[in-house]
Amino acid sequence: MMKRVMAVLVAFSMMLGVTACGSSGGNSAVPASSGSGDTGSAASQQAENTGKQPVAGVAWYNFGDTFIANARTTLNEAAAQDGKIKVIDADSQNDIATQTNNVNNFYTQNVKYLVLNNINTNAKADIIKQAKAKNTTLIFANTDSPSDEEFQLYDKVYHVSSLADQSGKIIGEQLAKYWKEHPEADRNKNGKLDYIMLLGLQQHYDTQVRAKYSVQALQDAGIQTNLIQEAICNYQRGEAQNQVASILQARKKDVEAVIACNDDMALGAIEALKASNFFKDKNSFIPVVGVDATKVGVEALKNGTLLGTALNNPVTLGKSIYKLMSLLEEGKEVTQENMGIDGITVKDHHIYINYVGITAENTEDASY
Amino acid sequence: MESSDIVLEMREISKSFPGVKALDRVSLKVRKGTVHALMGENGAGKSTLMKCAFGLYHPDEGEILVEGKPVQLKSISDAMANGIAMIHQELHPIRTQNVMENLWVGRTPYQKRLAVKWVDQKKMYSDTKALFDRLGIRLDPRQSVGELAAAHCQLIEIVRAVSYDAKVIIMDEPTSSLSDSEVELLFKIIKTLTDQGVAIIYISHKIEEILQISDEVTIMRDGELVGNWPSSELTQDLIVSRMVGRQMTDRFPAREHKPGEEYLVVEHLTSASAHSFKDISFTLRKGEILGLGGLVGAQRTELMESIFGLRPVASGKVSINGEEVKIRRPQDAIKKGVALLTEERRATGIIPMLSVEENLVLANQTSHRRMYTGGQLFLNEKKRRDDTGRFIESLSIKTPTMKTQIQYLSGGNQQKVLLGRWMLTDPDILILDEPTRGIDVGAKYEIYTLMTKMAAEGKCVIMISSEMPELMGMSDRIMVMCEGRLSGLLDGKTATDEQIMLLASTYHSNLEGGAAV
Amino acid sequence: MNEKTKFHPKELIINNAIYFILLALIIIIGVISPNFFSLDVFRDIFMQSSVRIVMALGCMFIIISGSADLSGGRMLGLAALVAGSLAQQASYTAKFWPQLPEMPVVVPVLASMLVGVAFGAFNGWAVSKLRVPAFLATLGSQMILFGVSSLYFNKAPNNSQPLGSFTEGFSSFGSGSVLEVPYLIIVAAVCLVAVWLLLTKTCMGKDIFAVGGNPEAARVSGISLFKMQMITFTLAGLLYGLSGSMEAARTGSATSAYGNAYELDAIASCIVGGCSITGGVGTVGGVFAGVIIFNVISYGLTFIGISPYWQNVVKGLIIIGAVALDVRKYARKD
Repeated sequence: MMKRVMAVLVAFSMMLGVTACGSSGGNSAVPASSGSGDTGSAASQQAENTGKQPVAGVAWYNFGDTFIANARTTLNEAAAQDGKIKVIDADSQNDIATQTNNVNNFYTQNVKYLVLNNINTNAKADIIKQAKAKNTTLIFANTDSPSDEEFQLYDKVYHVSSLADQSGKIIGEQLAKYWKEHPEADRNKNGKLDYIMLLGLQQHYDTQVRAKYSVQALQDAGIQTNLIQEAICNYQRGEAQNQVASILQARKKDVEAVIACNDDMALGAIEALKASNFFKDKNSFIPVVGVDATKVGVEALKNGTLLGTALNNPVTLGKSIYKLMSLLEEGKEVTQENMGIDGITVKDHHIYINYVGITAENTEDASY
Repeated sequence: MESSDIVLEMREISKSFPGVKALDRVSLKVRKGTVHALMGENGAGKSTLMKCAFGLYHPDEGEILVEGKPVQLKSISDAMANGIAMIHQELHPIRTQNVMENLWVGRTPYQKRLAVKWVDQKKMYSDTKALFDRLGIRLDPRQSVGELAAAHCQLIEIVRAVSYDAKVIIMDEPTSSLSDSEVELLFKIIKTLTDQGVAIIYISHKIEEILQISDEVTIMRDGELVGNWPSSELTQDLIVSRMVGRQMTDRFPAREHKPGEEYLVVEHLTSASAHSFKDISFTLRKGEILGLGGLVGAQRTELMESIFGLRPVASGKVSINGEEVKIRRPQDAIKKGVALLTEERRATGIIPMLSVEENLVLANQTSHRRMYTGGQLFLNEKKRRDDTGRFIESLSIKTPTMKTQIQYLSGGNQQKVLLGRWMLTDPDILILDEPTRGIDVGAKYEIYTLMTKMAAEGKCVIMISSEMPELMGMSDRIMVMCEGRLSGLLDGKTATDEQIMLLASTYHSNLEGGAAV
Repeated sequence: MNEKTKFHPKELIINNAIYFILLALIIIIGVISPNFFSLDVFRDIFMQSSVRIVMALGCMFIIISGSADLSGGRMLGLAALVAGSLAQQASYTAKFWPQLPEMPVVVPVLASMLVGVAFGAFNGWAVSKLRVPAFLATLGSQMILFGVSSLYFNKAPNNSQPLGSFTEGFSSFGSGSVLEVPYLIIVAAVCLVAVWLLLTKTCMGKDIFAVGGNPEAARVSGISLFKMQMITFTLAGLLYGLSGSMEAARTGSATSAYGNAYELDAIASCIVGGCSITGGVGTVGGVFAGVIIFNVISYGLTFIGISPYWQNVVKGLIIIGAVALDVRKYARKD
């Protein structure tokens, strides 16, 4: 009998193990850009160009992320058009071990620039020291900033990113505006804004900061807030839908707003709310805010379910990364003028991509 | 016969499982330096009793004494510590390791250096060699186990038991997978062990064997003790009647069938595998029982499995009822009225977790689908139940219900279910590969009766058997193979042990003159 | 042996452990939070389970036949994408196929099933003809499927934007109901009954159990292993595909991340529901209960407001506990 039990356990643990390997399996080969057709052919052209073309290795946290997919396409297209710097990239599949392997792989290929769309929030000093030892220019992309001390470690460290706190602030303000204009939104009349918070991943920097600053913005506007429940939905629509459905069954009468750390979760929450008889008419409206301004998100703004969202423009990110490398390659200074891209703010080694608040009034700003 | 001779005593042992009383006040006394045979039909409680002695089961009542002192055997390690060891029916050596590594697995000799336990190859070799010498075994301790025959694997188990200073070694069907010469080797080792004062508890269905090597015989039936006799006072018939609880005059049923016209013709059949059978021709008549004898490695199973479509054939012709047939898969064979009861009941026969019913109707349901569905989508449950019920009755299969999982039946009853599986397909040619291996006497007789009944109905029966008495007692003709070649055909009525043995060891090199009858 | 089996309460519990665990879970959650006992809550749970049930049923075929399949989750993902791309409103500006007219609901559903059948048959072929161990063959197709999904999802003009704005028909397939019973629950129930009939009442079902229980014995008895492997993997694919369009309809969207690791949940549900990983054993009722247990846990823990960090711990403990209790029914009989 023990044998059978063991077989079950062993097989099961193997399955988990194997899939774990599976999900991190794509790292060994650096994928040639798998984007749209024209990018692919451009990449292969570059491969033939074997001169002393500098190479940039880009480690994205997850190709499956809509935002990343767009930034990646933009960056690869910019490189293909310009032809000065060859860009190779890899998918960390949301796994730190895979990211480490990818980075080492890049170093083995002697990349001149390393663009790191970092998953981990703690190990920056080590990453910087490693880059310094390899004399590689290190660019942190769409992640939290290294500290001032960390910047002191190495002069060739840059940071290109939006500020997560900005997105939180924007959606918080959108919610605050609605709250003040609609007194009836206080459904349980307790004078507080009772909200559900939908978080992305556990321990994810963006999620934590967005959550914190959105509530901060509400409080700064003089609104008392009350957290009903927070749920981790892995940025997934289906999970958000399940969890919000459950919370609604338990505390339907208290729910007055949903703050979601991305649009997919916000839309999942809206599905659950609809199933619970909200969004039938004006009186059953519940304000839901998200981040990203995806196409379906904007569609929801238009049809009046989603209250607001914040656009982190992936095209601007992709362009900025390439422009930065190209300035460094030409030996030019990195300044606001030299970058010449709208919607960014340059400050020392930081290039901030500005978030844009999107509501039903300005949906056209969401196209990029 | 002083009491101090008694190394292991089990007093009034009782053990119940939900719904079954497996042991009812059974006692056993094993003397130092003797071979004590434990006999009984399957399900008589031998294994349960031995599992109690080996610490695998804890008896509900009764006590166990080792050298006169009561002991508590709560686990295998308790049993080992008290000098009791058990050699299992099925052996699981670690094939990738060598002989001595297998022998010392779990307690490899080591030397500690730099806080690491390093394997002490030298000590392991010399310890192994010493044990082998003591038992008169000529085997290289460094040989890979993967290359060893089954008998040698068993030897390793025995040596392992000795290495634990076992006073009592329990052997459960030790010869079931051994050839004659290997059995001889085993008996020699047993003799050496008993000479050195070790007691052997020997479980076997082979009565000849028991009478040959044992000093005392304890017989059990239905969880109870029948009695205990010195071997010298017993005969085959006495043992059989005490095991079965009734008189058994004949071990084989009378044969009343008369072979008719030729039905199966095999011509120059050669296996696709280079090391298997070559150029086999034979015929089989309606109502005939053809025995197929030979040693292990004679390729008898391979031949029959090829005829059944389980293995590929390179050349040759098979005709059934005057018509050449091409059988490439078992489905083809079943459609042509051929059935094969395979040798390995567990590996290729039963589906352990499925019920008696599922197991019984399996082949027929697959080959004659319409009989069970009538062309509809769903199965006719009643038809399945009726078929199963009919065979449970006609083959007197002992099972609580037809929904019982087959793995909980005794070996003999499992075999009867499998026979039923094939008889249900209403075959014209029934091939039985070692049909009575590991089955108790009563069930054996029932299977023999069935074979004669099939033959009397005009069906063809082929029986592969390694047991001489069975071959001679049941076959109309005996075909003998050796190393993939047909070495001779004998008349079943007149064949003798010596003739069969001679043909079975007639290797191809000295076959040129032609030794066939 | 012939004595009538008496009523043993302990045995009853052990033999039906899975159902008692489910009952106990519901009672515990209900005691903590009494408004758990409401029709809406149970409808929600069944609704959320519907997709997983269909998926687990597919997985069940594979497990009973003694094989393994790691590609189910990604197959669901691709099927969801394909269904989603064919179910968009004509008026939507960011359509996946801008030229395509609006399609009736059957088109995306059938297309998703077709995707499943194609990849399921591919799995079966790789396992039976190429003789790649099922574990690796399906791990390989898991990767292929994810790659194909990502390529499809990133295809211009979509560029990895989540698919949305589904037709009314497709949306109501996901959220509509008849007589208060959501369509998805009806679909899942129909699948449950169909699979139960197939496994217990047809020759094919019997053959699947036989192949899983002892493939060699099944072969000797005239069952074609090639045929059975093709059938089980293709049937599994069909159900994975269907669950894909259900998931897309239910959430009103689809991305390439859909279905990630769902196969592990499905396998876990099957095992918790009493299927043997070595094959030949499993009941539709058990698998159903297995899926419901998982959903009751996640729904219930959120319902009573347990911190998300603790939810994983509790889930893991309950799974291990459930299997530990369930294996007892085999343990005693050896």
